[in-house]
Amino acid sequence: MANTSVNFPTPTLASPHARDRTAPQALLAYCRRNPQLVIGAAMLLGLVLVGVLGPFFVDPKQAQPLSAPTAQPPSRQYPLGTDDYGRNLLAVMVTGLPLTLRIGFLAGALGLLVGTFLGFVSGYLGGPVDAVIRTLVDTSLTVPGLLILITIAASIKGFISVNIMALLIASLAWRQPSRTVRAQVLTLRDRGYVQVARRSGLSTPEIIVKELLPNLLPFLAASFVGAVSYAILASIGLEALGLGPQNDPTLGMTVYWAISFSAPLRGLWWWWLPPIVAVVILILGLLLLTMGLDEIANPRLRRAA
Amino acid sequence: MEKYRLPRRAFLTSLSAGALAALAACGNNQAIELPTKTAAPSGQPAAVGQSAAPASQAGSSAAPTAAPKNIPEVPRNQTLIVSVSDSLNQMTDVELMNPFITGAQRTGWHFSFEPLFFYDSVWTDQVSAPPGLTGKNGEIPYQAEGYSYNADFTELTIKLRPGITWSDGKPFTAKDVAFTVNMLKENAPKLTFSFEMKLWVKDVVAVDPQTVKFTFNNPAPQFMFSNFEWCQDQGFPIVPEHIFAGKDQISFTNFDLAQGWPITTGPWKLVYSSPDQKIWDRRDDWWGAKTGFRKLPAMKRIIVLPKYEDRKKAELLASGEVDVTHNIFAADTEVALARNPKLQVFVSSRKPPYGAVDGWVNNLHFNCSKPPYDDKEIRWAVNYAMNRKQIIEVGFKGAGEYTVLPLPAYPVMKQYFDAAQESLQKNPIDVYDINRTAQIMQAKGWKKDGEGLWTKDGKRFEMVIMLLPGFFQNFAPVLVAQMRQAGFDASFKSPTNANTLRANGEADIWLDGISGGFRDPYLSLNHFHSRYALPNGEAATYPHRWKNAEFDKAMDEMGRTAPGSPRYLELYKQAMAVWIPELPVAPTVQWYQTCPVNTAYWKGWPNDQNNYTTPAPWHRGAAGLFIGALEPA
Repeated sequence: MANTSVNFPTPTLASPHARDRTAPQALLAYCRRNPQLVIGAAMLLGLVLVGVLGPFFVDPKQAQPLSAPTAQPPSRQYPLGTDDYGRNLLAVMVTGLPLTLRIGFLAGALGLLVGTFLGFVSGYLGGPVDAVIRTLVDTSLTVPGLLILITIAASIKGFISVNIMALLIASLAWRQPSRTVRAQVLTLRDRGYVQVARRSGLSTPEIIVKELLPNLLPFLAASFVGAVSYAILASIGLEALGLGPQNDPTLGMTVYWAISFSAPLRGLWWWWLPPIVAVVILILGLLLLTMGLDEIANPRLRRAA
Repeated sequence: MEKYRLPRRAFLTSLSAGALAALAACGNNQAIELPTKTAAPSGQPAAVGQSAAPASQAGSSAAPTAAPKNIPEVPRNQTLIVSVSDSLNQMTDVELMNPFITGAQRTGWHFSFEPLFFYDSVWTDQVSAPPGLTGKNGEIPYQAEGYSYNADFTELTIKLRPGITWSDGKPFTAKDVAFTVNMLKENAPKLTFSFEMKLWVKDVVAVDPQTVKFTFNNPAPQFMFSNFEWCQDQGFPIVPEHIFAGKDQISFTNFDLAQGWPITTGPWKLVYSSPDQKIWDRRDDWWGAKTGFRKLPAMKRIIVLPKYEDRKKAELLASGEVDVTHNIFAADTEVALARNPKLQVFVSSRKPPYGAVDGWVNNLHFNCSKPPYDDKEIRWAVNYAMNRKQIIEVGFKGAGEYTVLPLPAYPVMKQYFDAAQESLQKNPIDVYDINRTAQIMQAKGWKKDGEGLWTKDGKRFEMVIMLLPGFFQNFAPVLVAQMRQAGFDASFKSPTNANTLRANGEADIWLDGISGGFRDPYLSLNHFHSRYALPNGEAATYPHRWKNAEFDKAMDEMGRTAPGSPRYLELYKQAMAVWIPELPVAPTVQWYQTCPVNTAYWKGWPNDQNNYTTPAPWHRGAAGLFIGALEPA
């Protein structure tokens, strides 16, 4: 059935005026036009490297209590100091950053997956299905997400692990992608190539998967970064309230323990400042990355090199 | 085909209207008429910790704004502000003032009702009661003037003080006492405190308006102390028969401000109640002042705020916005003391451990009826993995004391610690030795895996320690780390339904406190009697589910024997000779009440030089005593 589809030009990193360039050249040109992409990617890469290379410099087991003297300021031996439980805060950072990223990526991916599915179904099928999904999404978006998440998290009777945390965040992370994907699908579903595909006998799932999805991939990539950003912010918000994985040293839980033990009041700045700085870098990096990827997803933003 | 179109705007409008209607239906007038104006005079700190209170409190609302407009203003220096409740940041008992119903919090009933007696757990030969009251060996007569047992402790006669009236003017009599006890008996075990009434009381009668006579099913020398002498969190109040009679006791809330409810005998009247605060105003027609028993409290108003997280409590104390709060950690105490020179602590030198020892001894508890903790050797393996000194050093910043018995370290209890030495030497509870842990575990067939954790049949020894939300976070992670170092796959969690899970036997291991042994060990050890060891799945008052007939036999006789007698001490030794080797809980630390108090507006707080009680505002055995003893600064 592939011969029934009409090939539309796939968005590329290169502008129409630079088709002769090689892929690396095109990438370089794109990066020149979008320095925020480079900066954002560098910031994220730096954080990822902390998690990847960190264990070569500090034992991750020192992220557990009783690993070091308590409440020590930064020193040669403990570059980020220690907390009241005797945790080496550099080890906490090395261990906690990947955990926070894991929550973000897992929740973002799940949220986007569900949101994309609902958006496609809603936008393409229309009718009562669209009305139900749209109303559900619109109504749920009017309620602050953190409020719902707090309610759910506080009512969890069992153990909150990093994975459960990701599932919890994902339970709301589908709403925005669902709405934006639906809007995109609405613009695509009546286009000629989709109509041709429909008249050629392709089933609805085939049209969605073979015709619509490929054309929305750049948009979905940009949405994914946004979903990750949302998930990380939501997880840190919940964790700072003590509703996170209490046995794991994620960035949000580190902030929670610092608040619980009055670290700001007691002048233990090394306890709360590094995780907050890491969160700022993380969110800023994701924002810049989203901005940088926007040109791929949005043709109107494309400029010549 | 015409596409279906949902009338979206109409739907959302209807939805909003419906939500508003539901909100209105669920709310109450007080909740809707939220206060907008502070009750504090300008220039004074806000009466109820208004805008200056840290609004950034995680998970909480900001401190409440003020009293409502229809409540007269009272200057700050005539107001006592306390932060105490059983739920964090918000009170959940807004319209509940029946102390016998589950859910009633310590947000005022515990000082508006009064006891027959108080008992000062920290009494000394020099001080045994606050100024103006008389006490002997800790006992402080209040609604009652005295009591006596018959020779074999099967009968108790209590003489009430004449002239006591309820807040609606009706006399408080022996009939109220008999009614309260019978009400509990008839509604056991659904009402709080009812189990013991049904267990012990055969009959209770009002002999005359000032005399009550109890007849017991068995000799009960502890009965008066454990029920009618308010000590820390022990004891229950007498309620007015003319209000409670004829009501559905299981659901009666005893709350109606318009009718002046709750009706109590204390000098306080509830005038406002919301999730953010309760306001109690002084009742100048209090019987105590009229009869000359005790002068009116000096403050005209008590504002009860919810319990907050420690950081916020420390900030409110440091800024002088509250006068006393629920317990705070030593580290926060240190900060608050440094920032506010007007703050004092029980230890008058302002040095660690800052607070007074509490009767609530913290232990690591086991469900002794389920594997793996039904095996006493496994319990010992866990105990050997616990480094109590390290818990004090790290979890309590050195401001504390570990314990080897589930008994509070009051001076009067020293004889019982001494009496247990023989058993303790044979079974040294305070030994930290992970090699012994390893020996026991290996003998049981456990082997360490690549990560150094005990594994058998492909499964790790999982240990999820349950905490009460808001408690033990200062040392739970330390304990977990110690357990992991010893090879247990340990972690902790603090679910909101921790109490239910424990009671129903769904928790295997948890941290909690045991109290009751304020002057002798019976009430603390009573937690381990087999009568409480219900099957898993049934809610147990004391959920250890440990059974030992020999221990029960000793306890049964202890319950019938006068505390302090040679026979009593002998029975105690027999009980501990069973309890210690079995180790149904691992005693961990003595709990200290660390409650800085604000002397900017009020003086006369209890401390180690004036120990007529402790400044624990959540304790029914303390609040009424120190509130009445405070004087303007």
